[in-house]
Amino acid sequence: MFDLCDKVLNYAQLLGACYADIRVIIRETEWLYTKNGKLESYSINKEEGYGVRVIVDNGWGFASISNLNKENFEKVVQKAISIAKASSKVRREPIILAKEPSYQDIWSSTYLIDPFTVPFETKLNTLLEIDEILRKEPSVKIAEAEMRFRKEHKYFASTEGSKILQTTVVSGAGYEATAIDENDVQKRTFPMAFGGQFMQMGYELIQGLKLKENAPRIASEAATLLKAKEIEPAKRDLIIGSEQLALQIHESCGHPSELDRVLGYEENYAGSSFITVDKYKNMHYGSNIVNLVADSTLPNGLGTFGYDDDGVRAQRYFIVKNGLYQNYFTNREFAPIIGDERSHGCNRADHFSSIPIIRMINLSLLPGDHELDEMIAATEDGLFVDGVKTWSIDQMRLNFQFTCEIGYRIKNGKLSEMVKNPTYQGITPNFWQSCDMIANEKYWIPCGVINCGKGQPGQVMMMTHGCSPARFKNIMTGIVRN
Amino acid sequence: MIEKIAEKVFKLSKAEQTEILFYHTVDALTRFGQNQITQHVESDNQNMTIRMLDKKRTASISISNFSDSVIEKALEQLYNILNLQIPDERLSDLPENTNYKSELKQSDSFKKLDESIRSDFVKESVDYLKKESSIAAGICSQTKSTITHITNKNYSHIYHDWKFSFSLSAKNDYGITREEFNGTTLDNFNPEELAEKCITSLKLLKNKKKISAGKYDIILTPAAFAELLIYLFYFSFSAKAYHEKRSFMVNKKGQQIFSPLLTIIDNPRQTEGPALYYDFEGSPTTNTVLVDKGICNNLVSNKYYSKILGIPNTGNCLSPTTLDCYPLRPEVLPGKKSLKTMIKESDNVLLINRLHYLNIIDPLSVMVTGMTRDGVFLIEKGQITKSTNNLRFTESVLTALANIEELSSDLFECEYFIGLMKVPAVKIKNFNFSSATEF
Repeated sequence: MFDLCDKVLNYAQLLGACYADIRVIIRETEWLYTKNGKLESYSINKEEGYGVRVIVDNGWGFASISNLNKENFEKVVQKAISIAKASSKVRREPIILAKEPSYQDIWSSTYLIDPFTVPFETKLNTLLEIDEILRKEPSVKIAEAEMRFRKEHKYFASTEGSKILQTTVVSGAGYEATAIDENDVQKRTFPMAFGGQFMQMGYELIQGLKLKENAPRIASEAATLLKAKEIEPAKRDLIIGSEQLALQIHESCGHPSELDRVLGYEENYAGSSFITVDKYKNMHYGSNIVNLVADSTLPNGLGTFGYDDDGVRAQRYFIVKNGLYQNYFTNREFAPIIGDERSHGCNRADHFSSIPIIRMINLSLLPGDHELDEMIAATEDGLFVDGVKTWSIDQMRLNFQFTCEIGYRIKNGKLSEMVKNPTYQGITPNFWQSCDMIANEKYWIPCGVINCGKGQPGQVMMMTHGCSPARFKNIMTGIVRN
Repeated sequence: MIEKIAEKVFKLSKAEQTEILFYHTVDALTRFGQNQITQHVESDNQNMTIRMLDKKRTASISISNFSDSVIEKALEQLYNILNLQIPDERLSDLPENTNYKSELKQSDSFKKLDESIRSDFVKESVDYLKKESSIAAGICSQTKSTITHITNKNYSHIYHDWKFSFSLSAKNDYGITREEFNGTTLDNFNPEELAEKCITSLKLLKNKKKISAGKYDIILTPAAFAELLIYLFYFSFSAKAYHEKRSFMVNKKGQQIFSPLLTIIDNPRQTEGPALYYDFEGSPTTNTVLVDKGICNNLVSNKYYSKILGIPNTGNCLSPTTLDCYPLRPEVLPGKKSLKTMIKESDNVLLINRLHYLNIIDPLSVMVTGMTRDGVFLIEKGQITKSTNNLRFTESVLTALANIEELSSDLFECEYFIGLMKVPAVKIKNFNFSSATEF
């Protein structure tokens, strides 16, 4: 495959590119989805293609094609060059890429059981057994379960001399129980919402998730939610479980830390960031127990790799240390703008037809030193929430509102009745500064996110957020209806 | 080429019924920020999904390599999987004995569009905003796609879709505003005109008033109204959602639940732009009245759900395996007054330019939350006098549509999750804002 890469890069240079890179991707995916005792959908997708990125006359160009036929490569390169020349008509600043050594390397994610070797019947039967358990609960009118697998080979080569082959295997599974009566629709998911838990692992992940064991509890919780009441709007102490806290980290720390947003390049679509350049290494983001670490070396993380799509080696660094803001997610193009000599290695594309853009890598909250029971016992009037249902945050990443799948009142240090549609809202820095307790490493779990949307044309990226439950003081909870 | 591939697939397939969906999409997009082009891309993607159907069992496989060996291997794998499937009585036979090719009615201006012209459009708008000391960001995009649906039962349907979009944000020390143009032709597109509109709004941001959460009468621009409506279309009118009791229509079908000023039709056979004549089950599409003067009478359906609910098949199937159906080309019928007149006749009303990051809390009441962005303006005695801070809303779409007081006579094409939809501006009373921001 590096033959094709060499041809593309040589031709790009011949046509005037001062920099060019190519990503060739060969990808296979499998998706099984059952619903109410039936295999609702089953698909296999095998795709291959490559994208070429060039700099010509101080303009960027990118073109891609969905096949590996060597006879097409000249057309693709010519298109990328033509696009770069057109881009240079509207360019203000010189494109300077942060320095990075060139690498010749092979990297692979780790797995024990290749999911593509596991018989179809084994996977289907597991899903149908879960489905049956969920529908034993009479209020559960819709039972859905799914498994997804992906294997990808990515070849990266650049005119700076890098030649890198990376292979990743991702597996995931989960299910959803939807309880319905004449007045309400409520759902519970396991292990996480939006498809389940995903990791860079093989089928051993599915075997270890305890999917069937948890199904009766999940079905019962969905049914109970139909009878539960909403919590009345008021300020309370809030304990957030790991799954929901992972989303909170993603939305209120991950996205505002993307340097392209900070610099205004996402202004028209996703928005910008409250963590403006003047706050770089100069802002109290959270309380002094808040430590958030970006890590593209995290074992089995969805944002784990050997090298990003700029060819920058994987790194681990603080985004927030002892509450103080430390670092942005950067790439080779934008790192020099804030005076950083090296990129943090966050340029990622979701497909061969997508251009790499700054994406968060794995971002995790370091554990604290409390037992969860101790945190609940220390809360007089509070709310415990978990399970992702609804999320929304403004374009500066300040004003957020989340509704979770399930909540429990905390009264006098004890978990009390279940509440439905548990909702909380806040302003990001105030919220993180109110964090006063974080559970210890025993409760720390990695939560895989497979549906992070960004960019135009839209791209969907994967990453992992690890965290233990945490407590936040005096937070507005409940749905404010005025 | 497609005919030859289809011939090969049908010859080698061991299933009773086989279909091919061949997708060819060329996406090109020029993205700019901080007054310069930062991303500029074109992708040419071809993909084929082969589906087999045999004794009420089905399975599908997608490939992007169409070489003989890959096709042969894919068909072998697919047939093996098909034989492991569970029969599903809901599945319909593949369509037969119809051949239809939709017309490719692209305007000359659309056909000529390329990276150089897109860059020129960007340059014109950026230069205009720079003269006004503001910073531009946005996109200029064009998409062309062809879907070819062929079965081994003498059915073929070739569907063309195309779209042009330009969105422009202008920013200065007072804030940010945004304007957009979407369409299937560029004949009425003028980048300087959009830039001028942005500057007009930007000047209004200078005079700011801080407001708190609460209930307000509002006017939503078409872009803002479209964002609210998407949730209604996605969650409510599907026969599948109705059958599963996940739609508000379960208790409200046939009742006057919205303002009598509101009529919404699904218009897949539109005469201008890309028309869809057959759905993905091969059923003829129809123009359906979704809301008739505030009354919701009709669902959009497919073969299976029309049969079990005893309603007409409207031809809205987007997936023959999951049986999902959605409105295909929604259109809100216009009101009588222009947006300008609506503003002139308003007092103490908020004009909201755009909504952001909406998400649903409850499917039965279609309660959504989201933010305002890119300009909230206060209308006093018929004049836009000030801008305000942004607000978070938490509101039922059903309540909002019941509280409609006026719709504008001018319609705009806005982004829908499949193609575009036509939407006016709207005036709504007592809209619920649950919190406020500082900016």
